[in-house]
Amino acid sequence: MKHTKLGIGLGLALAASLPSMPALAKTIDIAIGHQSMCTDTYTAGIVVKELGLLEKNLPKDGDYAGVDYNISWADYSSGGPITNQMMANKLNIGVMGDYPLIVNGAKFQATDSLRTLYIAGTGYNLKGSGNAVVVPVESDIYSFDQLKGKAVSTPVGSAAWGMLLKAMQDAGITEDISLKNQSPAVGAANIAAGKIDAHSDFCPWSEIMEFRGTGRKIYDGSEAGVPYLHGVVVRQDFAEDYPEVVTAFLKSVIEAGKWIEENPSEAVDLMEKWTGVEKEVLYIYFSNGGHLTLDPTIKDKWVDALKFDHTVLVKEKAIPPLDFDAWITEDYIKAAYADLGMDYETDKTTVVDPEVANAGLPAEIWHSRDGILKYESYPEFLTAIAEFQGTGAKLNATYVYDKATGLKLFGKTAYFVVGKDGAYETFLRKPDAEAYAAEVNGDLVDLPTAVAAFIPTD
Amino acid sequence: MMALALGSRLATVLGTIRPRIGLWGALTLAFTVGYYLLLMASLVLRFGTLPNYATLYNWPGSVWTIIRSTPSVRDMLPIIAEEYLLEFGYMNYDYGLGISEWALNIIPFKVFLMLILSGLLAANLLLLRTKSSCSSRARLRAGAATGLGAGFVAITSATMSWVVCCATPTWIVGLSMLGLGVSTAFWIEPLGPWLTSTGYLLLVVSLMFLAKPFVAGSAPASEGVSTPEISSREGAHA
Repeated sequence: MKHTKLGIGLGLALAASLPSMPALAKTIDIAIGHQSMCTDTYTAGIVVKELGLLEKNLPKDGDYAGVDYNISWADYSSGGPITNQMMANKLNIGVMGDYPLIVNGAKFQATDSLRTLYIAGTGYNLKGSGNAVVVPVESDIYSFDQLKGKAVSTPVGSAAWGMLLKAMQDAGITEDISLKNQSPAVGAANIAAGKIDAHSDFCPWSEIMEFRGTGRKIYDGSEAGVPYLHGVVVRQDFAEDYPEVVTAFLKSVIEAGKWIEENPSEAVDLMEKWTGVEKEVLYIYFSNGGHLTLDPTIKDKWVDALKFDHTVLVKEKAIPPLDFDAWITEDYIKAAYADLGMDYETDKTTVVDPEVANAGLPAEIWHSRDGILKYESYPEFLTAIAEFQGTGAKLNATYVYDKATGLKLFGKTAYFVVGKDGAYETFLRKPDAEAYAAEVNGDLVDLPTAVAAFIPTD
Repeated sequence: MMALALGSRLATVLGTIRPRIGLWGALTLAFTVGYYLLLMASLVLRFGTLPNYATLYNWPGSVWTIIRSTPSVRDMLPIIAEEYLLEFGYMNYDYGLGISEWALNIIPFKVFLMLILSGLLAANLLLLRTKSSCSSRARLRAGAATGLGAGFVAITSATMSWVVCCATPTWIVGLSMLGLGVSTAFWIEPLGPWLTSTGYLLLVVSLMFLAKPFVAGSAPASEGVSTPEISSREGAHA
């Protein structure tokens, strides 16, 4: 009887360990948690996965000669579950936004024996664009202060929630907004149905709502002035056991970024197939002049932003302390840069400010047959739209830039101001457009009205 | 003396359960299954959608992975306690490749806690049923304590996840679903383990109270000498 019990016990232990028992040749399991519905994570997630970049970069000689790699990818809708799975060692590497990253580091540091390392960024927006507050398209709310006394939903704990808190503090209406906890999908559905006054969300949800014609941005994260960034965390024990594998992963992240920068149209087309997010929405993030700067370096400014985010989380969610010096390391990303023959310090000191970088960029039309067409001036852009409309050509989307922030916008959601001299400027927010119109004694119009002025009359 | 009294009451409890072990087991199982059915029903009613996916996890494999890769036992246990076995939920395919909007997670550790709760609850009910000679005030007090204790444990053992709460199963999801404010919900989240402990304590206290011979209304004999047999003879614990 005793032997039977022992046998059953050993059998169970064997059965439980079978999936992870090393074969004769050494097998290294690499499990990565990513988010296919969060654009800023794509260069360390879906792109690396689908292009097979990690497989290409993994070490195959020296200590790794004859090693088999078992790579698995798990897709999540937010960073919280990725952290939980990393705790259970079912994921070695995780990709997430700034607030969940901090929760990840703090939760691990609260344990006795487990740690993660923040090893690289994936992309950023210097001013905080990517997060935004959206209202139903028919709403009469046009600025953040008009939300006083209204109900605003947000995924609590996300970067968008942090931005919303900061915006409420900046506007002095902390006590006057009824905050609701809603998922991106539910928030977007409620915006479409007009069931909520406003919804604050992270990338690319506000642009999805704008593109589908259900929502309108009234506040962009750039107004909060806190950089919005995403990054990569790895379990410290994994990084210490296989540092070359971690470096190989980061080389893949860098290459994924280069691939997108070199082929934005092709990239968004493929990413739409991989993620289900419309390519026209992805183009706002990944094109030249897009919201996202693909840069994996860890800048001092980012560390300051993360420290600020941590203070918000401590106050609002009582998360544990986080020793940033122990958590953040540049060793692996520097090694990846070195392996690729790239200059880390140059990239680290380069910061892209959309207001400066996007000044003078051409407006664009995404023609369904001819692809992306660029126009140096707004009259040329509007004339082209008028002509395409005249021929019944299908336009997937149009893109212009916000004069105030340099942000790329959908033409259909922008406010156009035409001056007395016939010069056009475009704006994200109505109050900015109204102020500019008053300044230049111009008229504020929407896209159809602006286009109407260029329809040939004969 | 105290140990003797407690031992005597425990014997009373066992004496009440033993002849009805089948009923007690059935009640324990029914309460546990009913609890999870109630959670699922509340999710379906709250969100107006039926579950459209189910996932079975390799729980033993996960536990083994955690044991092998977590050096500290103190870290290991809470991580194991969060491991899923089953997940039923609703996947929203309106955006991207689908997002799990809400889910009911079957977590073996929580199921174990629920079984303890259900076992205590069933024992209390059996004792209450046999306490026909008790004053109604005493029965009411014991019933209220049982209900309150069960409520605390049930609420804090809820394993529903809602993507708004960063998609991790937490007991405050239930409160959020009932409309509790976000900040308040997060403020009370750390109280969970305390509420659970209080709940179990109330259940155990009410169980011991019910096992006391000659509860309120009866002239108490010397506790130290009372035995289940004597109590049974008095009709209190039969």
